[in-house]
Amino acid sequence: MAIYIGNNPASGIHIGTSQIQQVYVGQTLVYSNNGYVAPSPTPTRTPVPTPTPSAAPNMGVVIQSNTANFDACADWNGLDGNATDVGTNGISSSYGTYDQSGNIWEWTEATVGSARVFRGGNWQYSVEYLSAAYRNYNTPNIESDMNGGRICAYTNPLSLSNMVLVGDVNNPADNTGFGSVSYTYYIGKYEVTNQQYTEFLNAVAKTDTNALFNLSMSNTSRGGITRSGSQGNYSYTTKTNMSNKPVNYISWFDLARYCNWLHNNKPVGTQTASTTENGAYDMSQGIVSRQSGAQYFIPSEDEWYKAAFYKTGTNAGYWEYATRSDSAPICIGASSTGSGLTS
Amino acid sequence: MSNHFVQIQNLTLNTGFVVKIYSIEGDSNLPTQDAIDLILDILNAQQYPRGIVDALEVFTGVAKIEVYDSNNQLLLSSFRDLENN
Repeated sequence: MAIYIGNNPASGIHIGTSQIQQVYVGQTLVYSNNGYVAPSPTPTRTPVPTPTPSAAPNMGVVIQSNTANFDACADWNGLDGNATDVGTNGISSSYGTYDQSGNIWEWTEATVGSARVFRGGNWQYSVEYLSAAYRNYNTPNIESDMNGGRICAYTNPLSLSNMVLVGDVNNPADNTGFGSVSYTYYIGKYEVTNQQYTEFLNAVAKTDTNALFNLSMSNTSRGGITRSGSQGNYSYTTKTNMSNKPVNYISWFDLARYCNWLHNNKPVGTQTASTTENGAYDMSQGIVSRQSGAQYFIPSEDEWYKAAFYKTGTNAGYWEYATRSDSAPICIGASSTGSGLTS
Repeated sequence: MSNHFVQIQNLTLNTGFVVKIYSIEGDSNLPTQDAIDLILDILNAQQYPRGIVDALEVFTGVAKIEVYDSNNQLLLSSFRDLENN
């Protein structure tokens, strides 16, 4: 944050006899002595009854419940709570995304100092963290069993399946201030899975220069990928029953490199500028930000929030939960193979 | 979630928003009262909770911010998650 102290006494903020002219938060001007930088009027949230859910074709399961994976209810593989198959845990958002409430925390591009924001709650945390009101941040190199992410795109040039279109351009922000997006974009219907991340590792991590693989993926019961071979000749395999679980133990940087790999059309090779180190993000920068022309990228917080909570339509308002509901979801159990299971 | 947050400020803004600022228990590197006072005018200009958390989160020692409306309804909570490691 930059604070500029002027020497012209006037109304406004002062330190001693000096007036503050401008205050920046990050690159955003939040105060000026020429007048505050004020956002547009706050929209109101009108409670809307939960609609009758429509069938969501996922994994052959028709999901019609306001349920989600949180609060360590999904016990399987001998664990007290665990991630479950994407798309099997509850009803979708209005745009057709799944698990933006629960399963794993999802990275966004938003920064808090050098930290990055994630949203959506996870398989362990309690229900309040699933709501639109909660945002969570941590250092971007955190790699835990609780967090992963999904991807976004402007045009989806690879025609990746399981991307949903988010329209309703210039929708108003929620009363939190989040959710307004002025363009059409695609976002992953599901979190990035172990299967997808394994494909990525086998393409670019025979020599794993940037530690895209975390040993906890292999050594812990909550990880979903194993590695064999030696540096220069590594190969990767998803564990039994883990293909459709969200990949975890990935840092913000790992997810950014995954996006670069998609941006570069899934090349095979070492981790270089033409594969993982440049494209959507220039990984050599101190604070990595989305580059002009990015094809696949981590959702901004507004992109993520809109896909999760906006009701679709003009001035339609927002749900409190990404299950098209203002009522808190019920926690879901799990089958023996880790699919979401309504008790 | 078992982060141990300790409330260090409770501010009521002109908008009716109530802003609660927390640190992590045991953190001795807290934002100064001068720092909080300094941005009170800025907070008063924010119509959105998002602007409030953006303005506050950059201060050292701030680990959680909660913004409530005048009806004591939580609008936004932004926190640093030390459990997720």
